[in-house]
Amino acid sequence: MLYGRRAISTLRANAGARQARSDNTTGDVLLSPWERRKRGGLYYTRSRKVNGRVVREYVGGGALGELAALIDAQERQRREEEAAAWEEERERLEELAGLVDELCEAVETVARATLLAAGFRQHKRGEWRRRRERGTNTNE
Amino acid sequence: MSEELTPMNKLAVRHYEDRPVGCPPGSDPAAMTKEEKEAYRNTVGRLKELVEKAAKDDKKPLPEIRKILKESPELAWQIMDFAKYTEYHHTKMMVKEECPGLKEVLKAQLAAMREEIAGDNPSPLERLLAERIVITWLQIQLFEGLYANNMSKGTTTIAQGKYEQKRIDQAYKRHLSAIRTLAQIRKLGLAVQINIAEKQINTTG
Repeated sequence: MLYGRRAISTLRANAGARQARSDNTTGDVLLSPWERRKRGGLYYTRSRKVNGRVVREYVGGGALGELAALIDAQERQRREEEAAAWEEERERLEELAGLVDELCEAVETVARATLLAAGFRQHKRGEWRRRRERGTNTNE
Repeated sequence: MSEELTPMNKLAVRHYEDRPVGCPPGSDPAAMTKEEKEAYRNTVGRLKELVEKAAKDDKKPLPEIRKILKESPELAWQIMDFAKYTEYHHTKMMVKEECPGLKEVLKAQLAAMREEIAGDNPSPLERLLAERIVITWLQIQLFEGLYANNMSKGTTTIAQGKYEQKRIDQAYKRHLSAIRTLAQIRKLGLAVQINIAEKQINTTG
């Protein structure tokens, strides 16, 4: 039984034996969905993350592979369009929220200023009370 | 209103010659000149600075606060205009262009809400606070509607859902804060004579 780093490196070596890096059509880029098999044919695969690990699903070669690739490309495009639309909507929402923030701040400032000018003070960020000092003139 | 803020050391003391006292705001805030926007922001910014100082039990800023409130009667109207501008953009996003009737219904509902909240013979300050309550309520409706719509489509990602929830929470906080401020002003029940919007007001409502 192997433990620690040695165990991990052994597992990696075993994995390498099953799927050599050079078998992939894109060489160093492991994300290419098309894999070249040892017999020479191309094989379409899908990669996805499961519990933090990349799992590769083998779909097929030839027409089946191309059909799967086409479906995936369309799905990817749909997701990209949705993401772009969401980003646009989010920007508009941020802009609207900014307007409301500015309005709220202005109204709050005027309200506080009015109360302060009228001789009130806020007690511990809560209740507004009239200042007790003698000779406080609200019209000064 | 997206220009950069200028230093807030200059106060804007200007008067609207063409707007009678008590007239509802009719100008287009989007048509405000750059100078007007700057002046408005400078006034609010300076006022905020002074209010923050005064909140620390410092009485020195009080004369200047009174001076600004007295000499900037247009401030309340400008805020009202800004509220209209904000409302316009919210309704534009909420109601599609092909449903002008629905937009009118919403506008009428907002107007009714505004009147109900402001009450009879409201002071300009109460009008401002009522306006704020209405806008924050509208914002809640917008975010709740978008959230429900996206959820029903079933296309919402976790990140989108979190974002929308966060926005809804913030909108509720703002709304409650707006209600609290109006309630505080009314609770005081004392005559607060301050010149806002070109007339002496009484915050007792």
